[in-house]
Amino acid sequence: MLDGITQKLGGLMGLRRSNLAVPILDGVFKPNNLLEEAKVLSEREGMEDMAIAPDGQLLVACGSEVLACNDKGGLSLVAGYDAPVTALVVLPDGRRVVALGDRIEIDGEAEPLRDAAGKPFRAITSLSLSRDGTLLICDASAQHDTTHWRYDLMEKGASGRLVSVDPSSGAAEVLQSGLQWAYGAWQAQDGCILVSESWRHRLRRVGKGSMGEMPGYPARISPTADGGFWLAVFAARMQIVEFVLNETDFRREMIATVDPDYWISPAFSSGKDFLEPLQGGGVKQMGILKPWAPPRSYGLAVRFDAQRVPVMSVHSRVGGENHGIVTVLERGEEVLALAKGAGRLLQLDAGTIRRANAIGGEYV
Amino acid sequence: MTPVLEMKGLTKYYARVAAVEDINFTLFPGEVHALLGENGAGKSTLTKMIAGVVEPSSGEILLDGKPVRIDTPAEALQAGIAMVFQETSLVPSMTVAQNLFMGNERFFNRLRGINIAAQQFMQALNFQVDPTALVQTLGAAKKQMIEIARAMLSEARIIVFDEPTATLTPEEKKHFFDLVKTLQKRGVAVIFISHALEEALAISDRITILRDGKHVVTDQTTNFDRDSIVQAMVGRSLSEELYGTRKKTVRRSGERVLQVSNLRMANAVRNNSLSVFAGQVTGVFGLVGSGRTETFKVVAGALKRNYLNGGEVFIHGKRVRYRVPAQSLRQRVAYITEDRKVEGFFETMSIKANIFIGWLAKAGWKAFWIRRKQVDVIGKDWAKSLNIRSVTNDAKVIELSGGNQQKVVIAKSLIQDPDLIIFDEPTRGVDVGAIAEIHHMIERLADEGKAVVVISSYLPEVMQLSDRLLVARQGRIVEEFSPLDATEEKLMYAAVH
Repeated sequence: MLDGITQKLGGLMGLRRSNLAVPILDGVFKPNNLLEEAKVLSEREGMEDMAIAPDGQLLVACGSEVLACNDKGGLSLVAGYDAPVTALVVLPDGRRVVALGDRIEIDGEAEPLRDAAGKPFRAITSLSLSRDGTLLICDASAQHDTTHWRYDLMEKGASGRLVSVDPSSGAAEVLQSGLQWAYGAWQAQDGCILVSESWRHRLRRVGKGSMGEMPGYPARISPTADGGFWLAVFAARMQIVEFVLNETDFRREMIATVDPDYWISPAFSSGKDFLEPLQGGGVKQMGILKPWAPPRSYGLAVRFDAQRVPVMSVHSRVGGENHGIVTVLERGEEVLALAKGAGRLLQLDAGTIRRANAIGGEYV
Repeated sequence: MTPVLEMKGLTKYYARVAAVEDINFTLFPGEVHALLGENGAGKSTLTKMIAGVVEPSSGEILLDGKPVRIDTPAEALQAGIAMVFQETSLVPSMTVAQNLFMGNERFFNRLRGINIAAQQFMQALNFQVDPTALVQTLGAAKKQMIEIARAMLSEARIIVFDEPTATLTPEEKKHFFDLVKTLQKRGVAVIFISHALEEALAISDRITILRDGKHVVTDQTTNFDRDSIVQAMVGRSLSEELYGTRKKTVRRSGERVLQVSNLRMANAVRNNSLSVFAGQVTGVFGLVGSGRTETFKVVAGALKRNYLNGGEVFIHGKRVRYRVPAQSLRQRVAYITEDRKVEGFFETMSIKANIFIGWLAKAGWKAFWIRRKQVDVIGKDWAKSLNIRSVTNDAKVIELSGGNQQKVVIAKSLIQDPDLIIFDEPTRGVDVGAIAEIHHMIERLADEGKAVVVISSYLPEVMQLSDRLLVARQGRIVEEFSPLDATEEKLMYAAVH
């Protein structure tokens, strides 16, 4: 209790700097270069999500189109829409379901799904299927659409929700509301539903609390054959962003006067413009200048086992390009990662990932 | 050449049990003679007989070829025999200079005079110690320096060093070895007792090995290697078992049990961040002063981090800030100290009483219902499971060997059934046989799913035990290695640069 009081007092006096602590990338999260060294299967600006159809076909949402990707990375048009596709899933019967920001279109259905529980959708970031075939929809925010995600972060938005919709009957249920940017959902074998809450850096167990703090901003979740899952992490956490989030006046001024691309905030990609903040720094230690680069953007995906314990990770570090991982899918011994920041579809070998993370005692 | 010291058939019985039996030993002027053996082999008893602390039951001691009888330490000192103990015999509340000249004071002492004399003498030995500093404010290495300086001041011809390097940093060790060489040139004979076999191989001219109170072998150092010494010490080859094979597999990490973020504590810990996972041994390597111990003492509540901007500690994802260590015990955190004699146990209490204290710390209200018989049972069970060897279960901890004392300290912590166990230098001052047992115990705990931290300055140990290796430098963790690709050079480079 005493600690709680002193924390509050410290906060009032502006001394709560210890709260800026962010988990470091160590242990399972120890950086490697696997994402950066991954084979680039396909490259195109605007890639947003991907899904595997029951027949094994890989579908990629890119801009306002859904494309089919063959084994050599060739892309062919499957369908076009009147708005950018923000999420994609394929039902067990082969029908495509696409989210177009504030609505969902299901193949064969005349009318798009625009609301749930009497509230319209605003920013649909993820579509996935639960074990009984219902659609799990992440509506990230009620205030900002998907392109204005930075506003939601800087305004500390907490209006996201997780909705389940039966695709046949259209019956909808809000499973969780008040989420801070819901960006992915998945149902485990035991029935527990996990939803990633990006601004809280955590995976939330619907109705049952949350799993520990993540060193980054979690995005979409996809299942694996062994009952575990892959979690895409679209950016790494930084102390300076946590600091800015504590400084209300600064944030207000930044929102009002600075182009969002140059805000002090995480990004899907960086290093493309000299006006970007946080480009580099250095510390002098024992007379040697050690360059230091803050990870404004980063590439990270984490594999969890069936017990929901993180077991391995793949990275593209600060100097790399394959940043802003939003979706990871496992197809046999192949792991596919979508780097939104680089506009790349990456292909990795599951065995190489296991060996690099010393799973099973091997190591390369 | 006549030996400066010779022992013939030296035997000492304690209650009809021979501590040492029929030992023959020679020491020549200017010779460095390493005396090696497991804890309980009789090294201490032998040296205590030379120093007049213990009277031999039979046999004789010859100085310069003449039989002598040494009844008191004062007589030994007069005969030119000085001892430098592992546990320093300094008075903590007195200054360095006062300790240095204790027993040699003149009738009228001038504080300034002894300070100047001490300063000059320490400088001649190239020891950087302030003579006016209180001994209690100094670290272990500096205390050791004063002990050595005291021996030098008494113009000893024979100096016995008992584990002199256990608490020294690598630089200080180099300093110490240079000092021993200087002593050698002056014709001083040195008996060097150490568990660090490499040091004995590097520094000594001859090696004598004892086992179970009996003389095993004496030979030129060049005729020994690490394996043959270990073989002679324990009667079996433990080297392979301990450090011989390179780690080929690592345990998979479980849940994140401990997360330390931007921890700060005075000048010792600077913005330190690390994680410890269940089901793994996390090795922490670093030089003395790298803030390893302080970081984990903060985790265990034995030290407090900075009040402001002190960072965060999370146990099982829950933010914690302990005011007293008891709070950390309740959250199943155990810290097994590096300085067992000061912080690890009550030396005049029995094994079972010490183990029972560990139980009491966790028991809470259950402590009111404990019966004396249960105390015996708890003590006996743990002594059996950790293989604590003693004459009786009522034996005082001070009477045990270093390895068995360490096992008592470990039992005292394990009885609390912790989830996170922090071993700080678990095998310091422990004989090779007990090292193997302690290592097996650490491995077993990790296999059981506990989160285990091993802080060690000994590279082969930390590389052999760990599933993850963290290197600390200047108050923070600077690098993480997998033991599968780490080398001693890489670790040392990270620890220094």
